[in-house]
Amino acid sequence: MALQLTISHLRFRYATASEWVLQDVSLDLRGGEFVVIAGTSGAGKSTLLNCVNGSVVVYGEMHGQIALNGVALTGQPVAQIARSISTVAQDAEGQIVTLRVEDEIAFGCENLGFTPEAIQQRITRSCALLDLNPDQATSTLSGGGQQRLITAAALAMGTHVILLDEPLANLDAVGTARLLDTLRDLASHGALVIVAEHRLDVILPYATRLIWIEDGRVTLDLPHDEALRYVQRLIRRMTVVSVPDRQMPSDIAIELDSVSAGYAAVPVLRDITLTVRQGEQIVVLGENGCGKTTLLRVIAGLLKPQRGRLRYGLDRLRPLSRRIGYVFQSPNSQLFMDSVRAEIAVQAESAELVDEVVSLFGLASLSDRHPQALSTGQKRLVAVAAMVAMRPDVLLLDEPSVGQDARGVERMLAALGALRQKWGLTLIVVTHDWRCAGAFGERVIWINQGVIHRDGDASMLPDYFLRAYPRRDEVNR
Amino acid sequence: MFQRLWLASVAQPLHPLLSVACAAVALTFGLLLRDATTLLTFVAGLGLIFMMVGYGVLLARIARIVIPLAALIGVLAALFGGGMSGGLMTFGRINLLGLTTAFAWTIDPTQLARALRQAGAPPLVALSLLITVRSIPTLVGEAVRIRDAMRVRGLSLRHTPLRILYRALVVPLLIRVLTLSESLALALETRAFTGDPCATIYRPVALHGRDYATLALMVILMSGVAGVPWLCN
Repeated sequence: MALQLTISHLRFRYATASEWVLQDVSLDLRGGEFVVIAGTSGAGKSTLLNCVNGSVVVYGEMHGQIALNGVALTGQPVAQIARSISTVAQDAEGQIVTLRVEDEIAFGCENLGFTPEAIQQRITRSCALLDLNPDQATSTLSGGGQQRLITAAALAMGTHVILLDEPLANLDAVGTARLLDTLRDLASHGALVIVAEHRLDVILPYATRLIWIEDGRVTLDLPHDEALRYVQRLIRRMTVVSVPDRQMPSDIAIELDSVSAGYAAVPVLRDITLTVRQGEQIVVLGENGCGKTTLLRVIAGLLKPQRGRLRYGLDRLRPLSRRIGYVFQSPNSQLFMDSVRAEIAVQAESAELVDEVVSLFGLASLSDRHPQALSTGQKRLVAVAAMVAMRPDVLLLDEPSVGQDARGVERMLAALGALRQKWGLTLIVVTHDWRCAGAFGERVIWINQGVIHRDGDASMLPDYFLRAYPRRDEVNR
Repeated sequence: MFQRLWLASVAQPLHPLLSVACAAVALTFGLLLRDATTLLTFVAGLGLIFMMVGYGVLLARIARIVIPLAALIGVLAALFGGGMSGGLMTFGRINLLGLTTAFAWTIDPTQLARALRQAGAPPLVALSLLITVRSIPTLVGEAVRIRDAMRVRGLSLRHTPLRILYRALVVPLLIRVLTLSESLALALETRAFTGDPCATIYRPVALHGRDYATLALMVILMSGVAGVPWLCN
């Protein structure tokens, strides 16, 4: 019998919220499918996966039915469901429970009661598939390695349904291709692969079906070819070139002269020469591991270049941390005060600027809330607001749209635009999100394997975001 | 890091449970000895046994630090009222402490967890041990991120009030501990962990001839040390 996962009239809301995250989701999924679930952040992608594996049930109220091959999953304990559905959740680092790669992969298999010989075989196979060394200590794995490890550990359990929540988050181009090839192969052998992922430009060429979720409902359900065409249109439309009225070349903000930087003998960034002028708005693109974040760390002064020179053409009287603001990919480590207002005020340039920033970012209604109690998108707004209240000349943003809905991105963009008018704030944004790139990108820098591959305007955005697409699927509109 | 260095110096550690037991018993037994000569004999014998079962390189390494330290403190103890025998006792006890700690330090947590499960301990106990050791690098990683975050926000030891520095360090670390425990709980459940003691043990730990030999030598040494003075009296 072919594998069949049916979800009917699924509704879910968290105990702490009044709105339903999922409102009436019905899907019929079959073995052999490679399903991508997309949608804006907060639309309910992760919640949907966690309803299927049962892990979210204790946190709220769930209605509707989920059944695997006609057997109801709803009401079964998570560890029982895990015998037929394996899950790779977000936060790879936090999911690793053992000290060696081999033991980590063995863990799920041990719980399923496989014999040691069978476990040995599965370890060998999973390690070969995802390029892991079974004897390596888990503490020495890179972010990408951690992601590959927990994926290998889930695959080794040998279930026919595999759920993955943003599995590409830390993978470089090679790791991504390897994982997606593996998943496609599993699906072609009859497994059901369900992936929640927002990097459609990378994943869609591999998928057989795209399901779009918006506000807790399925708004789109397309087969492979139509999905490709749909996303191509979206990318072309979202990245419409908005050529700014050319101003006089302004002063140099940052100058990198043949900079190489990295963490070991082999530098991540090689021989980067780059001039950033005041008031510029730059989007930095590239695969994971190409050196985008390293570039931001060098500019922020957190990482010393191994070779080359770095010059700041800014007000040299202020300390570097006041001239360059940097909002990390995960804002959690940057928030520490007990209210949003205190967070923004603690290192602010002036009290007037605090008021202005609070109103620009629309945070007045949240000003007494604890920053750590906010949603991911709100946290990031607060982190950005706290940074600009220091009146930096340059603001570095690493993946500012993650966890942010479309309104949040627009609000951030508008606020930063106003500050750019006010004191010529320079923006350097690293992103994988084409909507975000389209919104921020006036100048676009494409980094490939540690060197600047292209440096141009927004017209090169489609080239980047459609790079993985097969040519024959191109449609011109 | 240190552990890896030390582990590397021992080609084949003993059975983990035996190591724990040997270290604990040797330490307790040694601290109970009331006579400097007996204590020093015991410590020397213990060192000899550890050397015979393959811990020689490790002992040579720690001896360079522990023996001078023990000698210094021993001399001080002798000068400040302990007398000759008091000084020797202190010297012997510090050496004993160094020896047993180094020995216990060579235990691989993974092996210990396996051995505990084989011995019938609840799987959750063994797993907690692993998770505790495992979360150290995760939290160190977070601490590095927090240090960067503090630098980016312009917080410095000199200019920022201690109250704010403390918050900047502790709050994100606590948050990471919370998200970590959430991820862990999810990871355990979705990987079918139920605490079932019948789950497979991949690569169980076996007792080898060396383990029995160590055990026998320890028993001989302790009965010798305890017995000889008693026989002589």
